[in-house]
Formats: sequence, C-alpha cells, structure tokens
Amino acid sequence: MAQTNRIPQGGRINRAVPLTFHFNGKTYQGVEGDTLASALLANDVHFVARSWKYHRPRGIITAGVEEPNALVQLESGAYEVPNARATELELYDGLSAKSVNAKPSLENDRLAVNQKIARFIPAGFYYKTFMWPQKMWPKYEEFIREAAGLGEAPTVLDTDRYDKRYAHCDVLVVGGGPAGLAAAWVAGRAGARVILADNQPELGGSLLRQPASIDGLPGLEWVARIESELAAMPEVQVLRRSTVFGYQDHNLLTICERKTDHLPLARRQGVRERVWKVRAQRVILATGAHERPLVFANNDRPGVMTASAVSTYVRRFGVLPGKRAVVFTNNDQAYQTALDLYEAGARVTVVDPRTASYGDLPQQARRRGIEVKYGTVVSHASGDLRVSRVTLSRYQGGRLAGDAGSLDCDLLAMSGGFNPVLHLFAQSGGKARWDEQKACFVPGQSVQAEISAGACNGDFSLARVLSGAVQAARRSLELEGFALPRLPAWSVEEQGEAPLLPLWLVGDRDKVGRSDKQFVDFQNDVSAADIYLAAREGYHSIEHVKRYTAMGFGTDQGKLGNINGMAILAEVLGQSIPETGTTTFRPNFTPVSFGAIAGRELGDYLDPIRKTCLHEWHVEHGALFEDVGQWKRPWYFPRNGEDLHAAVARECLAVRNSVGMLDASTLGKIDIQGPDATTLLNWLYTNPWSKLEVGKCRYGLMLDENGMVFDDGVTTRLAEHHFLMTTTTGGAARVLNWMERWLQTEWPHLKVHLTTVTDHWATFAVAGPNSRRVLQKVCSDIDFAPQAFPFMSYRNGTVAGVAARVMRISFSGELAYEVNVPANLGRKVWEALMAAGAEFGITPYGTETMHVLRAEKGYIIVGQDTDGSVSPIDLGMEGMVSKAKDFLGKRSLFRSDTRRHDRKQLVGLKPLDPKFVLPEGGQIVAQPTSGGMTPMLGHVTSSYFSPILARSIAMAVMKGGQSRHGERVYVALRDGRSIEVEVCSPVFYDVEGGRQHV
Amino acid sequence: MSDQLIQEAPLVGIKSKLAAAFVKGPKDFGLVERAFMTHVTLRGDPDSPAFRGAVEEVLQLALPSGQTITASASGCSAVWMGPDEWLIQSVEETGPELERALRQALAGEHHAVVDVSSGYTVFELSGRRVREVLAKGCPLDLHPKVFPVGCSTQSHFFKAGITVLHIAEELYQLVVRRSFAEYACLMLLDAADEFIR
Repeated sequence: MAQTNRIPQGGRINRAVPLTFHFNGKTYQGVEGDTLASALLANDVHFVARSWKYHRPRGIITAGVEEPNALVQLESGAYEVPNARATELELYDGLSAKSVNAKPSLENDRLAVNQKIARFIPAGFYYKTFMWPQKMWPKYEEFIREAAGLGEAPTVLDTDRYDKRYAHCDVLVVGGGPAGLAAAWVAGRAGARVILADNQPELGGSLLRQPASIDGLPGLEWVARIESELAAMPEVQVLRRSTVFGYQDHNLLTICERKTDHLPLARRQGVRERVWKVRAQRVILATGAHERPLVFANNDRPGVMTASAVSTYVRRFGVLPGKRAVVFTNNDQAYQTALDLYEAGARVTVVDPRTASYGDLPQQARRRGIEVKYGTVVSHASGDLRVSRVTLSRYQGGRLAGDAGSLDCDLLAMSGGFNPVLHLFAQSGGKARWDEQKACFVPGQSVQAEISAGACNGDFSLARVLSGAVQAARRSLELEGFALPRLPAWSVEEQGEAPLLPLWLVGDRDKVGRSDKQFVDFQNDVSAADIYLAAREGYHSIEHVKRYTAMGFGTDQGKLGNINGMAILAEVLGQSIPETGTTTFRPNFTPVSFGAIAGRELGDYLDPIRKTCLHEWHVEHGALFEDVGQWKRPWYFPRNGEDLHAAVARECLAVRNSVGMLDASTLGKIDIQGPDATTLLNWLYTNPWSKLEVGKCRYGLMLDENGMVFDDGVTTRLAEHHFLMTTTTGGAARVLNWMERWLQTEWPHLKVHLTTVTDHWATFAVAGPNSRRVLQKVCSDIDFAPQAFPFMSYRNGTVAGVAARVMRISFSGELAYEVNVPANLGRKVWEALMAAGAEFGITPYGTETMHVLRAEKGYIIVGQDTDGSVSPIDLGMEGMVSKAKDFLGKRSLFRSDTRRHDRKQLVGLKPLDPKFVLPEGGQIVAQPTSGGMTPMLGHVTSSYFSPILARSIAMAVMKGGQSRHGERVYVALRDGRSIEVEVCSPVFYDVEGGRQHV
Repeated sequence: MSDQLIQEAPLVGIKSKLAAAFVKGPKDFGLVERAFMTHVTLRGDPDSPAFRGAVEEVLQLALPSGQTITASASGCSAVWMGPDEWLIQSVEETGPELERALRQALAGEHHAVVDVSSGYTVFELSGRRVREVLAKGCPLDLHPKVFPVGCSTQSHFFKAGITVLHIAEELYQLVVRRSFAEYACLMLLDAADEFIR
C-alpha cells in the first residue's frame, strides 16, 4: 500500500528495507527505522485510538514516551503486550497491533455513544451516581471497568526470558541527547567509569529532529563523532533502548534495557528485557523536555499534534503528517516546525498569541513567506475523525477578543512551551522550582548526588545545553576526585529568541463547561471544565484534584497535561503556580513489564532448594519429598505402589519393632566455643546448663522476649568450653542471628564464638530396639553397653571408618542414636549403616513417620504445635523452666496474661472413632455445632493415625486443657459434621518412657 | 587421604548438567567445582600478639587484616571474613589435622577453631565474562579497581551467601555453603546462559 505521506528523501530511515505490518486488521507498509506511529502517519492514518472514558476518536499526539493516546495491544498469545505506545514501538516485519478500548472496532466502537452524553458524566460522576443502592456496586463496577479501560491483560504465559544485573559506575548519564553525550564524553575522557543510558535506538536526542551545527559539523555528524569516541573508551558503556525508570535512595537507579523488541518475533533470541540496578557515585540527568500541548476546544482531534512531534516525523522519519498545516505556538521554537513543514512541501500558517516576535526562527519563517497571524489563537478545532478546520480568535490581554476567521487544515502543530523532564530528579527527592521567566518547573536543590544538565535543567538553547553539560560533568568529576581532562569548547551559533507567552487555557473562562471540551489530560479524558468543577466542589489541593479528576494517572502519568492542569487550577483558585505545586513524581517513569521485575527468580529459581548429602540416595530409593523451609526432606519412601498411609505405617512399625533410619542432616547445628559458653546457654535456654557434664546432652527450650517458645533442640557438651547446639530445621538461621544479636549488641564482653556447622555434619537418626546392634556392627571403638553409653550422652568414635560424633538421643521414644559425620562422607556411612542393618530389616523413613513417632510420644514440633503464642507452661513443660536463674523471656512468664489458667494449653485428643483422623487446624468446640456462632476452645495442631496404637491420635492447644483431661469435646469439620473426641495427655505411647532407656 | 576416593562432592546431583553446560569449552565463562578443599573457621582476637603469633607459626602465613587473602608457600591460605574471623583453606592438610594443630597452638588463648571442610565447596570461575555473570546476582562492585587480585569479600549470589576470592586477572573463587551449592551453581549457569550457549 502506498505510503502517501512519505517524503522522498531525508530522515533516519532506510527506504530500501520495506516492512509489512498489520494494524486493526489492515496491512500496511513502513520502512526500516520507522516507529509504528511514524509508519501509520506515513500511511496517513491519524485516527488510531478511542479515549478512555468518552470514547472520542484520538490520534497520535507525540513522538515519544509522553504519548497519551496511541496505545496499542501489541501482538497476541505469548508475545502480547497491552498499552504499548505506538510512538516508541520500533517497526519490525510482521508487527501486528490493534487499538485498545474500542469494541468491536475502532470505527464502530460501541461506546462511542459516550461522546453524546459526555456533558452528563463529568469528573466524579460515578462517585455520586453509582452510590445506591449500595449492593448494586459490584454490577456498576463491572460495567465501569468494561467501559473505561485501556489494554487487556494477556491470558497466555509470557515465554520470554527476562533478567537483571547489578552495575556500578562513577557517573551515570541519563539521556543520550546533546547534553548527555557531552557530559559522558567529558567524564569518559577523565577515565571515569561511565554508563550512558538512552531510551532511543539511536543516540542524538533532540538533534534527531532539529537542525544544528556544532563545531561546524551538522548536529548528527557531531553525534556520530562523539559516539565513536565513547565506543573507544574502555570504561564507558552506552546502553541504547534503555529507559531509566527509577531513581531510588543511595543513588540506585533502575534501568530497563529492551534487547529484542525491535526484532521480528521469529528472530528474537535470549533476553527480552534486562533490568539494570546501577549504583552510581554521581548522576547527570540529561532527560530533556516534553512539549506542552495547548488547551482549546476539541484539541484532541486526530491531526492535532505537538510541534516537536511533527518536526520529528518530518525530519527523523521522513513523514509529512499533513499537507495543509497550522502551527499554533506561544514561543519561537515551534517556528522550526513551520519551517520543517514548509520545506517538506506543506502549506503552513502560524498562529501566535504574541503581538510579535523578532527571534531568528520567526524571522526566517517570515522570510520564506510563511504566513504568521500574531495576536491570534486557535480557539476551536473541527472535524470528526481528523481535524479539518480551526477557528481563530483575536487574543488581547489574556482574553479572547473576537472572531478572527478560520483556516482549513489537516494538521495542527501546537506548542505551549517545554516542560523539563523532572521525573527522575523528583524521584531522587529533589523539589522542583518554578521559573517564572521560562514558565516551567526546573530542578531545585539536589538531594542526592546528581546534577541536571540540558533541557531538563531549563536550558533550551543548544549552546547552553552543551556548556551546562560540560560543567555538570566537570563538577561530578571534581567531587569524585578525578583529574580534569581538557574541557571541550564546542562552538554553536547562538540563536536569538523572543520570550514565550504563557498560555494555559485558551478558551473563555465563563463558558468552559458549556462549549466543546478543552482537554488537559488526554489519556484520562480530563478537560479544563473538570478542573473547574473540582475547584467548585472544594478540591483545592492539587493531590485532591488529581484524585477527583484522574488527571495524571494512567500509563503516561500526566507527562503531557499535568503542568497545564496545575496552571489552570492555580488560575481558578487565584493563586500562583508554585503555590499550587505539582503532584508527586513516583517511579516508574514509564511502565515496566512484570517479566522484567521478576527476572530469573521464577519456578525452581524463586528460592534456594537446599539438599542434604543424601539427596541422590533418597531419589534413587524412591523418596517423595517435602519442603521444610528451603530444604527438600524425604517425606516417605513408598514401596511397591504404597500410598502415604501404607508406607508410613510400615516405616513406623519398623522403628517401633526393629530399626529405622532418618536423614536428619537438615537440623541446625551451631558450634559454641569459649569460657563463657555456659553463661550464654543459661541466658538462651529456660533450663540450667552449668552442671551438664562433658559428654552429656540436654534438651532445651528457647523463648523470645515475650516468653513464647521459638525454638528447641538438644545441645551436647563436647568439652569444658565447647558445645554443639542443634536447632529446628527451619529455625537454624533465626537462632544463630538471635544468638549473634545478643552477643554483639548486649553481651560483647562474653568470651564465646559461634560457628554454623549445619552443612558440615551429616546427621542420621538410627532408631529402634535394634539400633544398638546395627551400630555395634560398624563401630568398634565405642562401648555401646547401656551403662557405658547411657541415654542423653555422647561419644566420639569411628563409624564405618569415618570419625563420627554419636549421640544417644531420641525423637521417637525408642532406643536411638544420632550419628554425625562430615557430609562429604555422609553417603558412605549411610550406606554402611544400611548394609549393617539389612539383617534387621533397617528401614529408611521420612518426615511423616518422624512426625507420627514423635506425636505418639507427645513431643512438640516448634512451629507446628506452637505458633509464637505458646509458653513452656502452656506446653506443660514448667519443669524445664528454671526458678533459680534468669534467662531470656523469663520476666514475661510472670505477666498476668501469661499466668492465666485458661490459656490454650497442649493436650492430646483421641477421636471416639479410632479410625477417624482429625484435620489439622480443626476447631475444638464444646457442643456439636451446625454453623452457628460457637465459642472456639482451641484447635488441632498435629493429627495422625498411629500404627502401633492402631488408632488415630492428635495433639491440640485448648483453653485450660491441662485440667480437662478425660472430658469429651468436639472438633468441627468444614462439611458441618462435629467429631467427638476425648481430651487426654499428649503422651500416647510408652508413657513411662522406658523404651529409650533400654 | 583414602577418604578422597569415597568422598562425594556437593554438586554430585548436577554433575552431568554441569558437564553438558560446557560442551563448547569454557571460552568466555568457565565453572569448575574444586571440591574437598580443607576449610577451617578461625576466630580470635586480632589485637592479641599471642593469638596472631601462634596462628602464623602453624600456618606459615601472615593473617590478613583487611578484605584480603594471604597464602603460605605450602598451599595454605587465610581469607579475612570479619574483624575477628578468618577462613583457613588448605589443599595439603585435612580439616581434623589443621583443627588439631591450631587448637594445640592456641591453648590458653580465647579462640575458636572449627573444621567446616564438608560444609563448603569452592567454585572456580574463569573467563572474560566472569564479572558479568557475577553481576547478575551479586550486588557488589567487583571491578578490578575496587576489588583487585588478592581481595576477598562476603556477599550473595541471588539468595545464596558467597565468599568471593579474586585469584587472578579473570579467575575468581566462590566459597559456597554445601546445601546452597546446587542452587548457586544452577543460578550461575543460568546467568551465564548467553555466554556458554
């Protein structure tokens, strides 16, 4: 199809490489170097979108990130991107996009009818209208969300790869226009580590759309020279297609680099987007400026664009967006657009509210014979799907002063001046300052280590841009202690420029709500009338007006319209613009994909998967695994198609009747050394440690400051000043941190060192009546006789040829040993023990069996039977609480609440139906309940079927439970049934505890 | 060292995956596990001449006092881990031997010596892309200006704690906890994806 608006030559495009693309189901041609927006304009497609609320036809307004209208749903399926800005999408062969917020099609949009009722649905209408009946709100909301919206969230999983990286530099330069290039070059010459990030595929910034001469070179040749010199500096890194989207604390800046979006789908490989997290010593912001639209009636008609965008399309993309153009400007800069259009063959009329302008550009325009209407404004645009005519008014003393005829046109280029892009400066904590002369906000005092340079600093002439950038680089280098290179003095011809005339609202103030809409925020359909309405309704803070009207929300965050809106509000309220202030600029500067934010930490990479040295053995022997903290622990080892129930029954009975073995390597292990080790232990645990003999083990409970149990475990005295503490699997890091915290902050005088040895030692629990005989077969240098090696003691020895620490401790209530060997030798020892135990039917068991065995004995698991609100007294372990010494949490045990007798206390529960296994978490109630409100007495914390007892058992916490043994209560099920249970002691098996002492 | 034959490295579960990752050879990025090195944690008062003297006598090296590594002629090195903590590495002596020797020499001084050889493994990373790979998950600045050869530091790679040793120009070692080794290795391979494919 013909690109009717393509200019025969010029621009940064390659006409020799045509590209085919699809928009709203139609096929078009563009060329290499186009954006989707420039390619559409080349095909004379201006009408590309429907607005958010009124569904008005909308066109492309800008040529950059600030675009509010030209949002498209890009591609489909795994590559779908909602709300992509056509002005930023580099065209590739086969690109397919459609308009958002238009159903069934852009031309026949069902909700275009909203335009007719627009008068009745101003800002805030739904707060007032849809409030009653209140129960209808969900229905209203559904309708509103359907009617007012932009792109649609993709429904298919994104298959692209995203990643992140950290980076560090002396100077981060944001923006690759003349200021950024100049600053990066100076910093690079000084030998600084420099990162230059620019959001375009090509460096040059405003020079890509403006004629310029630097050192006698055309602007873009100067850019090419600087670019090649930067490339030769080894410590300078240039990131193209990279948007700095956040300026965080401590000079951390976040960049999203788009690596493959410009390629046809089939050619995309590797990482799509990479987030850079850059720690910069110094930042130079060279983010440029965005042109302001002008606010007049129907200023949103397709074909109405900012002047700089028109210049960009003409000069950078070789596209003439209209043949009969009106340039409406309050400043000299837009005369360049008039010249650009004129040179490209358009008929141009300039409309300027100023009485005259003697700047260089206006003079040039007049010399070329371009008609200029001074003292005139465009007060109204007509045309339906494209502007076709503008109505002019005379402009005097800030007011419309009578009809000035009209002009037919198919393009209106407007310029209300420029807004420095202050977003990153503001995110860094800086406050913007209003510059009355330039009529824009400029950066105020720096808060972090940054300097603004170029247009974002309010310097709009190229000579000042370059000199300002050199000075910014110089200042940064000095502060970082670099020797300065010879500073460049690029010569640029200064242009004479007349001041701009601030023009915030063109139309009559008294008709603002009754004439055609004068849009301020295009994306959110906020007009001048809405701001007037907000002010009338009492919303005076700019932040409140934002919330009431929605001005400044959305994907563009008000880049285009906010300043106009603030100025209009200021005028309504009769206050100055600085008094009105700005809304808060928050990260992100432009939307960032979820993929980029997630990076590679997905699926199995989300969190570390920690494995013991026996993991492969477990896999080979058919273990199913359970996640315990970050660890993978064998859950059970099914044989011959056993289910959980059958496998666990077999494993439990093997331990009770013969011998089993558990991989307990995940238990936290902390080596404690020093003369004050016992003092530390006495502080940490509720029970006393001073008298523990060398070679003995003791169980301990650790409390937090509130007196609540937060970890438990067995600690062994290896030598006079040397202990080995074990913690719960999930609590290891927390316990070590807790201990180090006390040692480092409160008790630095204690002579004791802690070392984590969790990973060094592989730990196997060999449990069951035959465990002694198994160990005797593989260990000849330890006397395992009951008196020689009693319960709760430890011996050093050689197990299967490996130096081992063997503890006689039990978490099953059986005769049991824990064998500790260095993990690199773990598998060898484990296999030797398995071989030695074969004659006794030694059975590997997993966490489920371990849970059942300990529950039969009423042993708690911290974090399962406790939840941070359970004291040792609640657990019936008052005997472990020393009365003679102080310890962490002790004082809290004497608070009245902690001493209450009706606190939830640990009990056992026996369902009257011995086959019924209660659900963990089930609520205990006094009477059967059928859904009504019933006081809850407590809940089930652990529940299993006990194979040795051939009945179901449970542990629970229950109000006043310790004095209620023998009572019958109920556990309420989700399905409405209530299960009768008997309250009992939590020790179900071997109550006397004889088995572990044999 | 008969144990050497029956010891099992922490990366045993991904041996084949690791080999497959470098079929084209470690040109831009290489990763090798140096398993079974001796690691002993040493704690003590850095300002005590008796402590330093005893340690330096046993190890035949000067204990480092900044974020650096020192080495002895016999293949023993000391990595500074904190103001009163060092990681002693050796390829000659076993953990229990070194532990015994140091404890004996330090008798009477407040100290801690703990053999943690099985608790850690070492990844040797090489190639011109190695810093880029590390930058994917390690937030520290490892530029040679800041972190020259001979430096060490503790940090993290994604969610695994690491100790980074700068051994030579394009050669780094990571000391990683055993149970995090597989995760850390898989994250490194994933980070290096674009350089080893």
